Amino acid sequence: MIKGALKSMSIQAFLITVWRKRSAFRAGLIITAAILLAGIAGSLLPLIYGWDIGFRVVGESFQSPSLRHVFGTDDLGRDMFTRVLMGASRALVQTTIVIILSLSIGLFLGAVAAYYRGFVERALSYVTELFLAIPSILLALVFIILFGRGALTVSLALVVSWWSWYGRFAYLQARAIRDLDFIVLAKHYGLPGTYIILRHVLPNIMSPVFIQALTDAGSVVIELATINFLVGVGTTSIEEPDWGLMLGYGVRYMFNYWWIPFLPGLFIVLMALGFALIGDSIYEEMHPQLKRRWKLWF
Amino acid sequence: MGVTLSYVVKRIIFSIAIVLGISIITYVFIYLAPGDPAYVWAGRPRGPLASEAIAKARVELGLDQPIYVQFLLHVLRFFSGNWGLSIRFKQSVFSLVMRNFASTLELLLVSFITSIPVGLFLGIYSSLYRGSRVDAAINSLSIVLSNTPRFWIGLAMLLAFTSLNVPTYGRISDSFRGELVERVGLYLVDSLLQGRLDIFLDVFTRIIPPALALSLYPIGAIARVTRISLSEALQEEFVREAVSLGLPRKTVVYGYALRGLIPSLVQATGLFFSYSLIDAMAVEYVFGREGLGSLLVKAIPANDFPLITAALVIVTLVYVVTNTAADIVQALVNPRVTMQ
Repeated sequence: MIKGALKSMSIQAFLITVWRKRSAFRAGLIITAAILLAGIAGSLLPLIYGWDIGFRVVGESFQSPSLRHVFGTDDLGRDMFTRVLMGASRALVQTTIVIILSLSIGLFLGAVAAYYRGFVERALSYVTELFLAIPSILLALVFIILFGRGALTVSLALVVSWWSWYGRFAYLQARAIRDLDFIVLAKHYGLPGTYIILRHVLPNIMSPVFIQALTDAGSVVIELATINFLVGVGTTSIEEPDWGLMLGYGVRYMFNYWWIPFLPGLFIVLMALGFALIGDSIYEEMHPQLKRRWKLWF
Repeated sequence: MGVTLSYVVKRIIFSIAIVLGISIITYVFIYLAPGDPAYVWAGRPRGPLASEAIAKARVELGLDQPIYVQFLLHVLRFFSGNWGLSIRFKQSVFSLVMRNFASTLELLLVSFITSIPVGLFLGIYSSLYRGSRVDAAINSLSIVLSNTPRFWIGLAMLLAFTSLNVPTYGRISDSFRGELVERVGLYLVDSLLQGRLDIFLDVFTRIIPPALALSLYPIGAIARVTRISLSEALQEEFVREAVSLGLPRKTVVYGYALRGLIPSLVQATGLFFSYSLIDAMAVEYVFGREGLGSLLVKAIPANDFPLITAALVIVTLVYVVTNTAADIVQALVNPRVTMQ
């Protein structure tokens, strides 16, 4: 049914329909575009003004939001607005890394497990279930202890636990199609397994898994922020302009200087919301059978 | 019944295998971690006798044994409840973790008691009026609710309540702390057992804001799952049949359509519960409550590996136990399995 919706029109035509019909999709795209712009600005600003921007200005600590400092300044006198913009590019890069890496790992392992059956299937199912049960915060803490704090560390930790979601989903999808004629015939024809997986299995399970990934891109943002929040709470000072870290670190100032933890959090909300609105409206559009046809019966 | 029983046994054995696998992974990782726990255990010694003290601490902690012996000891001690001493707090890890876990669990339970009915109500209502304005409003509300970081909402609530002079920071007022006798560990229950209504009210007002912040995600998520699956169920043949027989709408929706969804809703709720655990750890820190999150934050800088392992194993156990329980309930409720 998902494939049917995609096949009857091109992806562009589909997206244009969604844009026309759903205001949630428009809102989500606008928010995401704004975050993207903020991210570009955040990565360009340091290049234009030199790396000093967003770093401490003596005597300007704890300034409340004003025209000079739109978002105020933090404990070291750094301009919060610049740091929040720099955080946008960081958050975008981290989310992209997590989604792309865990999607490709999950898709591949799920397809392999469904295709080869027997021992491979059971072993991969156990591993997937194992990683599903490991909370990502555990992996993140372990990775931080092992490799030190950093944008890459937390993203990689999240990849290690997040792929299992896509892995299970891809496995279920692949299991549904593995007995269909085109795969059985390809096997009888003597084609190698890796070729069949790449050429026949993966393309046919891709679109539902992609949509699943799109719908929970918002949760990736929140998960990253939560981990960084818990890490940021325990640190004595922060250099990295990371929203979660800034929020966690800023909690100690919340009663007197509310903007230090509050404003980075607002951007986490916006980014997660933007992704979620896009994903949800695409999901709704792809499941037309959920429309209230039954209401006629009453 | 035979099929269900063998399924339950299999599911439990599988869960035990997962817990073992996880304890191996955590132990190996924490073994590899930089920072010498023996150095911290010996009290960060300096001077000529420092190396001797560290060596002594190493023997005391069992760090001189090969890794598999250490791990075997770790597992044996784990199942006998002897989790060693915390390096940072020099207290029994088991009692530390359990005391803090009770606090986190109390918060989680309160938030789920409120959020399950609210989420169900919103979901049912919006799927009955699917496509209408009410449905659109509920759907966007549930998207916003489930995509807002809970600790951020908690922060906003804390600031709001504090500016209104409602005491919400901390788990219990300092003046009551000495008076409360801990029996179960859940302060709401303990205060009632003691017959102290004033303590109960104090604890209750302090647990409401964080529980509210925490319940946003389950409310949104349960509403979403209910809405989607109930809309699907209402398309089924048996619903059409029931409608054509002229059964009242209430019977059709609650007696027929919703009944078939119970297993999948139970499973989804179990998943949301285990996700909320991490949120609870962050939220309780914002509200200055003791709990697993606050414990973990203090243990990390000290390389307190017995405490970190224990806290994380508890978190994992909650994951595994909740999901196993949800799966088993699903198998028990599902007539296709039980009627064999």
